[in-house]
Amino acid sequence: MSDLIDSPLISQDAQSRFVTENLRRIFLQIYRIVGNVADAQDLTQEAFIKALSRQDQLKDEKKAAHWLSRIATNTALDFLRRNSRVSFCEMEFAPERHSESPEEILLRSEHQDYLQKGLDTLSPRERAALVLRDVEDLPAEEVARQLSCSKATVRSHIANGRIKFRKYATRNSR
Amino acid sequence: MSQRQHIPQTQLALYSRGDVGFWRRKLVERHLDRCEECAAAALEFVRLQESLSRSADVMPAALDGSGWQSLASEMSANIRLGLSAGECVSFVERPSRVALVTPPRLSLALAGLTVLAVLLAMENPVLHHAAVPAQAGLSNTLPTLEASGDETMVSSGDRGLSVPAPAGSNVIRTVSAHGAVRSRYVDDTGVTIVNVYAE
Repeated sequence: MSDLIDSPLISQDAQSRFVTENLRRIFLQIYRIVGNVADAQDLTQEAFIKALSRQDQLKDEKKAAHWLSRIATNTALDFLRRNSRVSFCEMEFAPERHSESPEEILLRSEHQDYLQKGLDTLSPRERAALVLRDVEDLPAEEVARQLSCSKATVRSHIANGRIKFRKYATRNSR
Repeated sequence: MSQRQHIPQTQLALYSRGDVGFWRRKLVERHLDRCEECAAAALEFVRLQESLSRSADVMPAALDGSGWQSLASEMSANIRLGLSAGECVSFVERPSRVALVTPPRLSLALAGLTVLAVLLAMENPVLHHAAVPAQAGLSNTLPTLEASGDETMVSSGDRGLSVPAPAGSNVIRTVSAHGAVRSRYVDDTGVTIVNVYAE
């Protein structure tokens, strides 16, 4: 990442490395917020293009991961604000995983679906706060920074998100 | 906090992952030692958070196996393409960060500029329109997306980048209101999707 900051003309190698190191994490983070593979793909690309085009805004290279994560969160939230909708994951790729039995695949897939539907019951900001705090394991202060709000507001989003998620789990207890 | 007076759900939800202050935590812990109902609720919050936390690195079922690999390759290629297109049409030099501008200095500078503007307005009350032709010239630097025949082109002024599809391939194009053209075609290597964004 230091190459990204020092040089105004970033080498393609440095860009590729940056993308490869962070692609999976950022895609999953956005996917948890928008709940849809196709939108998560477009938004992940958009987040990386924004980040790499604005690398001069990054002040501290040690914070590159959080900085990228912040751009990704904002990109996903902007998208939800524009579209005011949440859709579910399409099954456009055939699942193939050879180390698991079909029953295990089904169970895992159902569990993922169950968690994602629980997240979908929250408002976009509650969902983003819960994903960053409970899934990404970021401290509440960092979640507040990423969502550009106060710590008190973010604590309220986290608490509401957890309560709604618990209600969903109670209703759909398996 | 007595045993009869239960802890509010919001406090329990925050306590379960250490999101409350020291004294609040001590109060909650004291109550949980004596109240089974609240202790069970707190445990349930912890269990759900662990469940979410375990899902952090799990891909959606739709992307199992080679699904993620092909999606990652497609995204990496699109990111490279997006950056190349951006470099091609970007003319405007971004101003460097002004690290020394502190709020008091900024206020002083703004006050100075306001005084200067008032003085100038008093001397020349008539507005000049010399800036209008320059504004018109700006439109030449806005990026334009064009799709014709077998190629998609993003251009700005006299510079441009085109992404051609193989001659004769049946290209299906989708134009989005956000300023993107998506071309999809089938050739010998399989299905190729090219997204070109203008920002």
